Order: sequence, then C-alpha cells, then structure tokens
Amino acid sequence: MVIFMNENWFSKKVDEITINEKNETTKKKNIDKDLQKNMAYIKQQFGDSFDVKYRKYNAQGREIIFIMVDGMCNSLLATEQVILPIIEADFEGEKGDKLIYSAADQVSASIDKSITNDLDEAIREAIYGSIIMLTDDAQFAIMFGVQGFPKRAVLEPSTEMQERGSREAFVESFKDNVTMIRRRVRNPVFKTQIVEVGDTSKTRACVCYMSDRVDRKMLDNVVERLKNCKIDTVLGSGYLQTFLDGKHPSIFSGVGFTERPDVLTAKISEGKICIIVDGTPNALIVPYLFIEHFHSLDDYLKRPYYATFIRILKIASFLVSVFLPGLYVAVCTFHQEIIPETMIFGITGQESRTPLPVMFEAFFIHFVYEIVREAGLRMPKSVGHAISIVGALVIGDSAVTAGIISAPMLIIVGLTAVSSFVVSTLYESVAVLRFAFIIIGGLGGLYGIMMGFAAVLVNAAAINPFGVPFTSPLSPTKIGALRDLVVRQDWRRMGKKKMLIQKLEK
Amino acid sequence: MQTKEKISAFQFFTMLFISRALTTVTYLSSYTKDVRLSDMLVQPIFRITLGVVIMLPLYLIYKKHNTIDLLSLANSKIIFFCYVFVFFYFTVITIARLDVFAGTVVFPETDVNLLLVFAILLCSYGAYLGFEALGRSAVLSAVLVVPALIFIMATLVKKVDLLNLTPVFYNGVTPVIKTAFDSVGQTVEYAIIAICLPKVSGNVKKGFFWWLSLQTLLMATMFFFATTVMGNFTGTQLFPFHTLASLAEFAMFDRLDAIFTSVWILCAFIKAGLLIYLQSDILHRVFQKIQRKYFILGIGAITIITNLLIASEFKRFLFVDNSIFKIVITGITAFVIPLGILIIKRKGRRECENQS
Amino acid sequence: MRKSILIFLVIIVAIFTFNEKEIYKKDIRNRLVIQGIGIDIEKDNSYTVTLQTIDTNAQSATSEDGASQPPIKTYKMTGDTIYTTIKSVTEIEGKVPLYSQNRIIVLGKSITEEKMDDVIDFFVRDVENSASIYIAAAKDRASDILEAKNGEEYVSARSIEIGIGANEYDARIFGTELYELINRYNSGSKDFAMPLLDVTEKDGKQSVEIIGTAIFNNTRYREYMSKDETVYLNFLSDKVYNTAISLDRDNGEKLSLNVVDSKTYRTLKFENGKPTFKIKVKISADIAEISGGVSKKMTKQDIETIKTSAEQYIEKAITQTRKRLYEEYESDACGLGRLLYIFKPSFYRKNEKNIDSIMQNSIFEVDVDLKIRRIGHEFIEMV
Repeated sequence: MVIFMNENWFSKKVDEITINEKNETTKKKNIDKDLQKNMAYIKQQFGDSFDVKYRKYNAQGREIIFIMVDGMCNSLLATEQVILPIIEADFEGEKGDKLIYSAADQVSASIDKSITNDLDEAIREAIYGSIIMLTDDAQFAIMFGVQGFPKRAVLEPSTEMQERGSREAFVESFKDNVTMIRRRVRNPVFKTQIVEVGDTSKTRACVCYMSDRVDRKMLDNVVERLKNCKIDTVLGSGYLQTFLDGKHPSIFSGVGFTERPDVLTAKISEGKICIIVDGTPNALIVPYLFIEHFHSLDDYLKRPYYATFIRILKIASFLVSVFLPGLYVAVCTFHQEIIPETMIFGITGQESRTPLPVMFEAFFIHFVYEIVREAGLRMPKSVGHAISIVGALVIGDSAVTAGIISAPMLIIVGLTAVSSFVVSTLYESVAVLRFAFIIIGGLGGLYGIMMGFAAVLVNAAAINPFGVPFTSPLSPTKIGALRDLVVRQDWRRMGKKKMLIQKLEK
Repeated sequence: MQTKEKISAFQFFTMLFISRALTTVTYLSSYTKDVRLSDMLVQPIFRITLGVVIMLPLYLIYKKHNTIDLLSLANSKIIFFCYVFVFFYFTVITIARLDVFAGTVVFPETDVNLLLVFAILLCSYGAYLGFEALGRSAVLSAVLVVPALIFIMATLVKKVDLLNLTPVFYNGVTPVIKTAFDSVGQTVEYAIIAICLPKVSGNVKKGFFWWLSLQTLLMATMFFFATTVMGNFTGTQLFPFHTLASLAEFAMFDRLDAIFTSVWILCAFIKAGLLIYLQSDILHRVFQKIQRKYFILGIGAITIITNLLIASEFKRFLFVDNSIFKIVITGITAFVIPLGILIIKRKGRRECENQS
Repeated sequence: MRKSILIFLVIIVAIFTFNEKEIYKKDIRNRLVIQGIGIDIEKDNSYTVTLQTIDTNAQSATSEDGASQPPIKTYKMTGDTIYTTIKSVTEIEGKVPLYSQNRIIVLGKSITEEKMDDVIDFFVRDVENSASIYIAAAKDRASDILEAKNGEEYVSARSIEIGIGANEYDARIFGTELYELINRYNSGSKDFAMPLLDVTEKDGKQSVEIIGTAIFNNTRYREYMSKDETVYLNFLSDKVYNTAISLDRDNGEKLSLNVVDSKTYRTLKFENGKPTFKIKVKISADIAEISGGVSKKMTKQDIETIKTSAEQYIEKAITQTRKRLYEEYESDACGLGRLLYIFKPSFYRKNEKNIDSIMQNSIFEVDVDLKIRRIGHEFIEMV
C-alpha cells in the first residue's frame, strides 16, 4: 500500500525517481573515510527513530561503531558472535579497511556476513536485521546477518488443503520459505536470485529455479520484468502479478500462486520459475497454465484412476460454476424446449410465482450470495455462524417461502457456490464470468452464451505467459504432455521422462 | 503473407475442419431435386477427387519454387484484393447464414440484428487476437465439437431405418458431380490453404489429406444419419441437421438441438474470425504503414453494414448466397491463380535459361 | 482491461435498450406451456384448434393414485389458418404460447379424411414443435380427445403420449412421430399409419383410448386396423421391440408369448418378372401363459410343438394383415414399396404411377423363425 505522507514528500520522491531513471549510480552513497561524516549521514537517514541503536567501542585505540535496529536482530547472537569477538580481538596495528577485512575474515564467528562500500546498502541491511560495523579510515562496512525479528511459526496451509501431502505452508519470512524448499531439493541445481522490488519498500523477491532445467531466456525475462516493475511499495506477491502477466488483457492469469513448499518444489522441477516475496506466505509461479488449476498435489499422491476422476470432477465443477446460472437463465428465458417435460411444470410454476424475470432473479441472488461470502470471509470467526444462519434461513428458505426467489434458482445458487470452491484458484475469474454469463444468457440465450464462451476461449488462447501458450498442452497439442492433462498416468510411466515446461513453448 | 505468427499443421487443419464443419452441419448444401439423398453419401468421393485436383497447382508451386508463399510469388495488388474480396464475401455469407439460423431456429420471433452485430464484433475480436489464438481456439473447439457431434449421432443410432435410403444415381451421375462441384465451391478453405501455408509449420501434405478425409467422413456420416433417420423429411428442412439433433434423445432430455446450436456458433466464430483475420493481414501487407487492428475495425464495420442489409430481406440472402458465383470465385482463388503463377514463373524461368 | 469492461457495459446497455421487451416476453413466466394440439376443420373451411395447456396459476392437483400432476386448462379457438388460430390464444390468456413442450398432435376426422395436405405445411415450417412428437388421428373430432374429462380433470395429453409411447413395449400400438409422417408424406406412395384415438365414457367418466391404427392411402384415411392386427402390421414394418402376443392353438388352448426381441428382414427378388417380397421375421420369445396348462408337465416335444404352431400362427396373421393392408386399403403403410424404389429403381420409375396395383399383385413370402428362449417357472421333464 502506498501512502504519500504529504505534498513535499511526494515531490521529493518524484525527483528521486527521475534521478534514478537518469543514472543508476547517483543513488549510491559511498562510505567516507571520516566516520563522523558516515554517522551524520546515517543519523540523517534514520532521524529520531527510537529503535535504531548505535554502539560505539574503542578497540585498541580504534573507534568502532555498530549500528543495528532493535527488534530486527538477535541481540544475543550479535553480542556473542559479532561484538564481543571484535572488541576483544587483537588487530595488531591494523586499521581502516584492513581492520574491516580482518574482522570479517578472522575475528567474527558469524556465518552470514558481507562487505560493502555503499552506505545506503548498509542502511538497508541494518533495517533488515543485520548489524553494521563501521570504523575510522575505512571505506567499507561489514554487514553481519544476525536477524532475529519476530515471525510466525510454520503452520498448516489454510487455502490449499491436501489429504496426503505435507502439512507445511509458507510463512512471511522468505528465508524460511527458501529453507523449506532446500529441504526438499538436496541438490545444488536449486538456485535462488534476489531482486529488490518496490522503490520505497525495497522488498526482496527471491527468484527460485533449477539451473539444470530452467529456460535461461525465460529466467532473464522474469528477472528483467521484476527489476523494471515501477511500483513504490510491495506488500505482497500479488503486487507483482500484473508485472509478470503479459500486456494482453485477460480474465485469466498466466501467473499462479501457492502457499505450499511441496507444490513449489514440484513446479520448479518442471522447469518453471517461482518468486517468493518477503512478507508474503504465497509464492508466485510462472508460467502457469490453465490446466494446472485443475491439478493438485494429491493427484500425484493417489492412484492414477482416482486422480483422473478428481480432475474430471474439478473440470465439471468449474464449468458448472461458470455456466450453470447463465444456462438456466438462457433456458428459462429463450429455450424452454430444453427443459425435460418432467420438470417443466415445476419450473414454470415456481418461476411464475416470483416477481422478477429469471435473469434479474439470478443476478440478484448471486449478488446476495457474494455479499454473504465476502462478509463471512472478513468478519470475526465468532460471528461466522450468524452469517451461516442468515444465509441459509433468511436468504434461502424465507426468500423462497415469500416468493421472492424460486426454489430451482436456489438450487442453482447452491450448486454453483459449492462448485466454485472446488477450483479455488480460479475463484476470481469464475465469480466475474458467472455474472457475465447470467447477463449474456438473459439477453442472448444459448446464442449469447456460446458467443461469450467463444470470446473467453479465444481470450484464454491468446495468453502466452513467457512464451508458453496458456492453453497448452491441449492447444497447441503436445502429445507427450497429454499423459498428465486430465488422465494421469502412473509414476512408472510418468517418471521415465521429465515433462519440462520448455517443451510446451511455442 | 506475414510469417511472424506460425501455427502447427495440426492446428491449422483443425481450424479448417471446424470452419468446414460449419457448412457441413448447416445446410443440405448442394442438395437439388435431381439428387437423391443417398447420392449425397457417394458425392464425397467426387469431392475428394476435386479437392486433390484443385490443390495440384499449389503443390507444384511448392515443388518447383520450394516456397508456398503464393502472395509473394504473385506480388500483385490485384491478386491481393482478389483474395480480400473472396474472404470478405465468405465472411458475409457465414454471418448471414448464422443470422438466418438464429432468426429461424434459435429466436424465431425475435429481431436478431443486435446479436448479429455482436457476432461480428466477436469475430473481429478473434481476428484481432491473431492467427495463433484462432488456431488454438480451433483445437479447443474441436475438443468440444467432435464429441458433441459423435454424441448426437450415437443417440440417433436406434432411429436409423435403412429403408429410408434411396437408390444411388437415380437421375444419373451428372447431377451428383454437379453437386460435388457446388460443394467444393462452398469450400473457401481451399483458398485459405493457398494463402496461409507460409504460416504453417509441420507436415502440411499429411495434414491436408487428413483434413480432406475427415471432413468428407463427417459430411458422409451426417448425411447417412439424416437420410436414414429422417428420410424425405430431410429435404423439407432448411436446417436439416438441426432438426436431426432435435430428434436425438438422451435420458430425460427429449431433444439435443441445443448442443447442435452451440457447435454451430462455435464453428461460425472460428470461420468468420479466420476470414476477417486473413483480410486484415493481406491488407496490412499492401498498406504496411497502417496497423492491422484498423483494418479489422474497418472490415468489421463493413461486414456489419452488409449483413444488416442482407438480414432485412430473405430474397437478398438468396441473391448473395449464389452457388455459381461461389464456384467461380473459389475456383479462381484456389486453382486458377496458383495455376497462373505456376505457368508464368515457369515461362520466366525458361526465358532465363534460354538467355543464359 | 478498463476498455474491455467499458465495451462489455456498452453492449449490455445496448441490448437492454433494444431488447428489453423480448426479455420479458420470452421469460418462462410469460409462456403458455402447450401440451396438446388438436386440429379440426369445420364445414366453412375454418380451423378449430384445441389447445391443452399447463395451468401454471393453479396449484398442483393430486390425482386419484396420489401422484402429483399439473393442472390442465384447455382453449378452443377458430380461425382461418392453424397459425393464426393458435396465436389467438395470446388474446385470451395474455401469454405467448410455447409449443416446444407440446406432447401430441391430434388430427380430427375432417382433416384425416381429406385435408391432410393443408395441415402438413404448418408442421414442416414450424420450428418450435419438436419433430419427434407423436401424431394421432381422432375417430371423430380432435377437440373431443383433448377436452375429454375423467371426472373433474381433463385427460392429459401427456397421458395420451405415454400411451402411444408404450409402443416400444406393446406392439398393439403403431406409434408415428411427426418426422416419420412427413417422411412418408413426401415419399412416392404417400401412405402412412398412425394411432387412432377415441373417447369412451363409463360411469360419467370419460377416457381416451387407442382403438387401433388408422391406415392412410395417398394421404387419406381409409380404415383402421384393430390393436391385435396392429401387432402384425408392426411385424411387417420391423417395429416390434418387445410385446406380448396371444395365439390360439389347434388344441383350443390359448398361448401367450412375451416377445423379447424381434427383427424383420425384408428383401426383394424378381421371380418371373414379378416382384417377390420375402419377409423373414426372427422372434425371440418366452412362454408367458398357456391357458389350462397348469400341472401338465411340459416336455421338449411340447416346446417344439408350441414353436411350430406359433410360427404358423404368426405367419398366417402377418399374411392376412399384409393382404388387408395392400388389397383392401391399397396402402403401403409398412413401407415395403420402398424396396422397389431402392433396389429396382428402373422398375420403380417405369411403374411409379401404378405402384399400388404392382404391390397388390406382388408375391409375398412370410417366414417366421421363433426361438423359445424361456418357458417360465413351469416344471419341465429334462429326460
């Protein structure tokens, strides 16, 4: 979320951006040999922030300053592994940059350390929980990674539940997330690359891939897009989705999400690229194909025939959730001949007792359903039951009894609502498309529905996330990949040959 | 032809299959009173032969010049506009038929002009998204269209009555050959092949024979079911295959014509979208400074106006949907122009050889 | 994306503006669901159309057997053409008629006897009526059929349709769907058949019965065949799937067979320049009942005897039915004449005009091959 504090701040920010665009190097602030000047700059940057601590020591006549942000670093670790060994060390007359190098190489017991001559970078690291060491006559600073900020424990996934998969879900700390993947791929081919995104927030996005199978061009493209994304603050991975999606406007996205480290591992092992954004328990996956929305980890953990059955079920649910209300409206408005004769009396009788035409009735009841859903999502859990009662009794039963909506319509809403959660990753698209098809069905009947369907089809077919057609491997058809499309073959066959995403590229 | 966008031979011929399926599943195309229903089952043999013959010049061009970019070889604005006109004409016909279908069967008591406009806008949108998007959509459509047609026919098996068949060549072979010509005349896909090949990768020859065989098989199967299920009722219907689908029953559903309508509209979208795309692409080739999307807008607008004019009176539709005219223009674009190019180039080469 | 949303909204607003009336007019609440259409022609050549519709305003009624059935309303209108007459129901009810749910078309005697040509066109041209609805002839007026009252309630068109639709299990009914009628109407002979309906009254309650099969020659109603004869007409037409037949045996016993499968092979040969139709009927049947057969232990010989006598009986019955059909009614309702058209087109072309007499003078050879599949629960001597 970008918050512009005041007009001056805004104008200053704009100036900075302009400068940055002109020359990247103007942003860098070199460390001065004069420690006091450096300190003045740092204090100017931090202002009166109470949590920034400066500790000055005199070690054998040399002035050493440690800078840290309270709460972001582990004080005990900092003291034991960094401060104590350095102030007690004998530097044998070394000073300035030599001291810095000695301290880094020989004295400190910290594992995570790096040297920089950029004061801004040092400040950014301090903010992220590193302890910075500066000394007189030195043009370099050491950054010790002793982070120790409070973070959430690894918990079970909340949106991607699996029956047999692991119970771990990503957390907000990207390092922990990377660790979870490392544990699953004990091979150096798993590589990470950090890209800073957000002009102000400087959020770290960690690009993960497997070097032996990733398409280098695709990787460069992803990194390039991340580097070039013009955004002030990144508070979640979703901020980056737009930048990773192509320019082609579509209701579907070629970027996927996951909160499961095992899913992410599976995706990178297919040659895909994942982006873990610091502060978000959801990783982005590119490229993400349409059919992948119907795949889940459980498919691969269960017997192939059952996995196939579940996939068919998911596809059917998706179709039901998008088209059923629209089709019902189209049939009741224009194509009554389709209604089986055993149902015609029931539907006609029920609908003729309601005040609204079928299209408006469908629109209204689905709108109400979305309100109830949204309320249920946002409200405290303690009052969640109240919503259920209001939804089921007041809106459901009473509305039918009062003749505001018809019973068949209520069944349609119920079926649609349940179906839409079967493929939860497509919910956004499904919800919007459903309303669109209600309107189209009411205005153009089956003719309209099919035209709408054709529009969605061609729109989806035009998506090419990072050169891979969104609708592949069905179209363009890749015979080899069809073994894991709807019907899943067993691992004895699938395991023989790796199915990499490059094979689906245009 | 711009070769930036390339699709596989499979996608291309699937697109043509869907495009041709539209004509196949619409009318009893080329059914005349001299032709008996069973003749239509034999007619595909003549169609295949004609199809192969019509493609021969193109094949020879490829063999001699090792290129299949017909427009590059021709390099004549007249020929460019000739193709644009043919594609425009067939776009208009496709949309006009869709309009007649919608106005007769889907919304018999409703003015469908507005829907016609939206249909053209949709096809223009498809054209705007490009050749690749259309190719992919065609394959996805085929995944729906083919099983839908098979399903409809499977439910009709129990209604088949072989006594509804008629004697073959009752009025001689000539009327059957005439209908084969007529049917080939309705096949703008031959002209599309002539133009699109530079955009297609893979085994085109194999794709062509599969396409020719499968569309002929589809046509023969549809006729077989129409003839054996409905008999003489077939000839009384403007959209006999729609009526055929309305006879199909499955479980509690007494009619499956809704499936047929869906198939129809999907096929029409692919066909008209492809034709609009081709027009815009050829025009863009002539006037390279103007972006393709502006041509699409223009073609869309002209198609809307033309179709609205046709839609107002059935007589106009009959006037535009002229069989002889279609045979002539398809023959010119799919056969005569490639043949002409082949002869001219051959002559040119001989002259060069003589000079050297 | 904003552009797309804007375009979508513009389209929606445009359709609303231009199409708003259509949405309301076509909505299911504003449709009058027609279940049966009866057509009669009056002496002044005007049409009387009787419509049986579902009364959506009434609550669901309960029939005698406790099953819920929709309340029915009937309308009777007179007009110059069928279309305008049916349309005039909108003036009465204020709703747009919906024929696509129509279950049956009943044609009055006045039409079947001389005006079939006048009504066929409406059904060929009409797109709403399903081509697969049943068509039936009324013994008298079509309006009587659709206005018949079983006490307080009308006899529903749906129940008549179910009765005719039972032809799949009961070959005593000759079901004809609209597309079959038009198919035969457009064939050379223009001969066809359809169920004949009549209203019977008992204890003040009316019921609609299928009394047999109306036989048409050259689009005109000639006579009707009884339900028992219809079984053999169905055998001739290869329309028997599953039925029960009873036969008189030579020893005076009555035998009931449950036909579980049947197929009629109709072939054409020319012998001495004369068309010879070979009709081979293959029947697979179970013995369902032998009157007076209780505790008479059956033997293999008995089964053989039953088979032979049943075959002879069916052969005879089919031959008689054929004779009546072709010689008395001069009708090719079972479509055998098409064999000539398909296999001997030159002969057919030459004799197209006097095909009726050709069919009358042709030779018909009927051969029945009956397989007794099961004999029921009755004991049989195995040795």
